[in-house]
Amino acid sequence: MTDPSERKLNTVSPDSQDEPSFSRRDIIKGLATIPALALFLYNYIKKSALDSMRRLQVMSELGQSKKAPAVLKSRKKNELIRLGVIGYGWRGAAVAKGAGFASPEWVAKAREAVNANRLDKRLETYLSQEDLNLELAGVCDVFDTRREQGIATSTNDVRPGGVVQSEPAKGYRNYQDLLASDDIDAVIIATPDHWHAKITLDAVRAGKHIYCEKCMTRTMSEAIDVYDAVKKSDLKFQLGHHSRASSSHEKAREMIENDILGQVTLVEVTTNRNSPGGAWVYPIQWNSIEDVWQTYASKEQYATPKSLDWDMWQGPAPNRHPFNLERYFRWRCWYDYGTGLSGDLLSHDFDAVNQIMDLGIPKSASASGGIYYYTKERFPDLIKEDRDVPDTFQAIFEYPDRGLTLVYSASLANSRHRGKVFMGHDATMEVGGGLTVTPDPQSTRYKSKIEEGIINTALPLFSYSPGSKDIDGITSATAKYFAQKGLVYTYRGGKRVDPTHLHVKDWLDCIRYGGEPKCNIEEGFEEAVACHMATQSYLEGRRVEWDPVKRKIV
Amino acid sequence: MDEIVSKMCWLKYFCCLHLLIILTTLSFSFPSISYVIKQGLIMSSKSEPLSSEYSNSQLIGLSLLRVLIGWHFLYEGVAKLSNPHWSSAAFLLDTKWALSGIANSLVSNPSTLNIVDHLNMWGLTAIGLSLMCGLFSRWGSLAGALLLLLYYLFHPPLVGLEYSKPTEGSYLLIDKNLVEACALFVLAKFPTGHITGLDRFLQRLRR
Repeated sequence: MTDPSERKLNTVSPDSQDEPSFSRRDIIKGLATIPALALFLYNYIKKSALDSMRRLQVMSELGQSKKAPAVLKSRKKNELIRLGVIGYGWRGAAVAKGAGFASPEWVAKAREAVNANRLDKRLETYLSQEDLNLELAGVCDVFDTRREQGIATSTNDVRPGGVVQSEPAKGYRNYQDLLASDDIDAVIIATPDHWHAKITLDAVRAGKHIYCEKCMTRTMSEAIDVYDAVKKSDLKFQLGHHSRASSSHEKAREMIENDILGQVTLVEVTTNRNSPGGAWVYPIQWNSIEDVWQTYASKEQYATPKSLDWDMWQGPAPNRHPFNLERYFRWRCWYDYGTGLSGDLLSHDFDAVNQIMDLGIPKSASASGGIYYYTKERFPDLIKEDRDVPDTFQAIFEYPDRGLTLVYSASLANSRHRGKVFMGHDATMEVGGGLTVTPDPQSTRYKSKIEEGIINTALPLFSYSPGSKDIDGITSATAKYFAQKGLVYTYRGGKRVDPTHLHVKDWLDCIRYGGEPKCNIEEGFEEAVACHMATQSYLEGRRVEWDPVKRKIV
Repeated sequence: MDEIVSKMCWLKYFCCLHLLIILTTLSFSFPSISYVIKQGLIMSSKSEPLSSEYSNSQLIGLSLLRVLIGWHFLYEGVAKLSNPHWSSAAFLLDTKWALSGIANSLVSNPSTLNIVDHLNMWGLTAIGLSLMCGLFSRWGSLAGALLLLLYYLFHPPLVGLEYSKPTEGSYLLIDKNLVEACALFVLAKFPTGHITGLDRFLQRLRR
């Protein structure tokens, strides 16, 4: 083992004395490696000091704290609010869940998901929601099965807070009867877009507070009517942009308020989906019906002219059609009922940018696009009637007063993730479920810091990832897409929360304690006008402008 | 689907066999390695004499190796301790091959994940200190080798396995974790703490 030529005694010196005594040799050899530890400590302290100095300098430059948005305070329980849900499709059910009423079917599915994957926290998140002290008093749907599901949901015993409602909700086929009822204080409107304005106006007349899904209205003139009616009333109106509750948006707003990006001249927002479901082509079995979110146990539960009040459903739609399952389940594909990519998905992003930057209504809009992928020619088994809303859509909004262009770019046939990007002279901010701010190499503001090596342009200047210590079992591509967009879950105090729950709670808090909801009629109106401008530009093939005096798109 | 699963199982066994063959071939083809392994086996079966005689250059080499590995462990531990956002979850979730089930169950329970995180942070720090100071250095070496072996087994660089976290090098079956684990095994069998470390005083006090 040892080379005899260089063998020297390198052992502990045999010391036969009873009392241990350390020779100089022992001390020198025994402590031989301790200087390395001292070197380590010296370098560690040097590195820590350098890192924290850099961080402090950057943070003070940014005027930022690493603090996450505050944990929502639970106020004292107050009087019971009796809710009515109008339109208990998948979104109606999702908003009701946010209010604390999940359907038995959803609970069963969430349980299954937890059993299959213990990382799935859907059920846990739902059950740890705050009990909002509500009664689900009425459910209105023109489709019997969905209405009955809504009624069954009202007495579901799996609830946050554990209090089970004793009386089931009353069922209504006609929303007018629900609005006329004295035992309803506030309504959630989750019908297709073509009904939003009419029901909102009637709800204002009936004196009910309103939570309405986006897009606020189907047409521009409806938006004016709704705005005027809600403004004249003292009712609380919340538009259902639940991403307003996303903690990353609040952080992003702070960045803009502190002018960290410099002048932002370009904001790019996108939609990227690549599945029939994502393009609203929900599966329909031609002899039966099964949409993405609801499976029906028996044939009696399927939509038929008997179980579905088709005339009532068509209601204010501009064109009448005979009973048509495709139009019923995939209504987003036609302008008769929906607002296309503009009102359905651009609206989310527009509202997010409006929340972060207070943009308001744009001066002009130009949009283009087409139906390039989801055609019945390409999908003869899936699609029987072609859509009239585009599946590829781009819109450009100009804000000359702010020196800014907002670009929206959407494809429903490619899922490459492109985030919400705010491009400033000094830095770029990308916002999703979290956010990153990356300095621009040509920045004027950070020039000296970049030269001194305090700011590295290859790395984010600031990043915020809520719940990074927490692990989520996000499974499907669409779920991941929504998570990136911050639409499914957000975090408060490191705890995962459904933003729909926070958004509903915000509305209820305003009803109980006063104040304006986060996405009130002003923001709702700005969203509606911007979306209708883009739609009109697309349909007329020209650039349109907003006339704020006449309140008209010209 | 079943077919794919059974194919994957076969692939696992195949990879395992492959690894064993390579390690055995390596150990026989390099006399020094086989000597080290044999010596290690002999030493571990005996009462392991501590007063091994090393030449100066051997002592310097072994002590330096101990300090360098200790440094690496200590900084890995301290860096994790000083980062409030650090968690082993991302590493564990990216686990492939035989231990992926265990890793998943560790992650799925916040309290076990917390224990794993703390064991890692403090374990790395303690092993680092032990190696650098030469205090309980044989135990430190063995514990370090075991920890590295676990890291290796949670992320084995086998053919056909892809990890979402990019590695800093290119590896085929053997990675730096395995090499460092092997070096620590050698250090456990050729200890220096009792000569150039605090173990020297401990030994004297015991005597």
